[in-house]
Amino acid sequence: MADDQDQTQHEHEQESKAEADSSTINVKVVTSTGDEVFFKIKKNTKMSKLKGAYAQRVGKDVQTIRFLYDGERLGEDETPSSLDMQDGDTIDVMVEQVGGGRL
Amino acid sequence: MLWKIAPADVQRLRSLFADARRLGKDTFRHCHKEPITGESFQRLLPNGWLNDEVVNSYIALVRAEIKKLPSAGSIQPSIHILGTFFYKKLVHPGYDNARLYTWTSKVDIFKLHRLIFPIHIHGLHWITACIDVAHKRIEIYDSLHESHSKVFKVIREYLVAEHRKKKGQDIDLGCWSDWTCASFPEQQTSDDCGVFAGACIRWLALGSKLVGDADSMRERMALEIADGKLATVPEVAQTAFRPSTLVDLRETPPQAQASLQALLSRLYEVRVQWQGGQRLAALQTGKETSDLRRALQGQVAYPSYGTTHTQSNLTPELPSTSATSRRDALVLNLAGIDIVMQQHLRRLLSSFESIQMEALKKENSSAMSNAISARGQARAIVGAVEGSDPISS
Repeated sequence: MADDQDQTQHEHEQESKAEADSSTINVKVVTSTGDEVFFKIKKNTKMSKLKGAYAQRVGKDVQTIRFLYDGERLGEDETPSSLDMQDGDTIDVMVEQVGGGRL
Repeated sequence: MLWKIAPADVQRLRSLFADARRLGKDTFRHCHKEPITGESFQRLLPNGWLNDEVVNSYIALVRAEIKKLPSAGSIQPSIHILGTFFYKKLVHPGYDNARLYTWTSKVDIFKLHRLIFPIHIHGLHWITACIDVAHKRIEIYDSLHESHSKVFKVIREYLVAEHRKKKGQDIDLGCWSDWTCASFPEQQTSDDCGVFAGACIRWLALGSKLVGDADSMRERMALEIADGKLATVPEVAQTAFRPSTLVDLRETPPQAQASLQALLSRLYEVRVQWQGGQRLAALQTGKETSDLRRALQGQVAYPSYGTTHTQSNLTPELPSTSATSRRDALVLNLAGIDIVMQQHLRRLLSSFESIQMEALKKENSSAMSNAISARGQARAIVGAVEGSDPISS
């Protein structure tokens, strides 16, 4: 488990010196307020895992966040290769929206 | 037509909500990739506040129906719907920072009829926005009837940014209008705006009205999300028409049906004249049909569902353009035609036009056989309008 996290959850700065590896990819997770977190993940890492790692990092309930790629919600089982993600691509993280009308 | 669910479905709903409760935070369904958890699904119970998962799942179902429309395929559909996060991103961090140009990478929004998206506003309310490109109008549908001057401003900025990015030049929005639907039904509770927004999106995209009280709309939505598709209209599904002519005409006002028939028989006339050697006459009539085609694509009046539909509570009256000539009057009479029907018409009219061009250039037999198949289509649609085939060959 600890090993897994080492592989999935590195800061970009730490990674910049690492040698390029074709089986991994750097992605940027960006909030609407512009906060960015960088991850280096394997191309076959499931989005559910990335989302879990992100939620843990920022201290949010994983249920209340959504990952979008080019405006489309990412499925839990999708991976960078299934999505044809490129190195340096951005994932938008959004928080749950709830509405009824008025309080 | 009221959307009352069948007694058998009442039992089914009960077990669906029980399943959803058991699943909790786990995924209950995927509607064309849009996931919805058990907890989110339970928000469809009376008085539940809908979240983005419910709204986006419902949008996914509407999108799937748009893809089935006859004109979708080689040419882009004329309706596009964006999800709940679009407007959020547009406000902050903005068009460029949020790379919103990638969200519409597969469509040219300036060639659409309508671009529709829900807006989550004030952190607690759902409304619907529609950019009516064909009529150069930005529209807001709000079940609480609040004022949204900022929304119009943000959408205008979006149009400018998108045009600059995709077309490389500025767009003049001077002749564009901001419009708020004053007759949009008002929610009777403080909880149902999401239901109204979902129904509104469906109506704007497909022309099918989701009517009834908010609780029965919730039941209907829950069943549809659970089934992964919008409910088909039983009467239409049972008819014997070929799939390409399956059109829900029940909500088309009689007046519109009449002018639809007039239009189609005029089209038919072109073919008859052509085949009978009266080419000049056919050309004359053909001119009118191409005018009509342009009218349908650009200036056709909006569905203005009149007082004949008093039983429904979701029949906003939309503005209609004023008639200035005989031709416009004919076009105006088409108001109220189901959007699906309009798609049929567009395809039909453009096929007529291209055949005519072809036949004009070279009188060959393939053009004629195309003409015959187009006539077949015209007859099928007229047949669908009347429930029978009125034109004998």
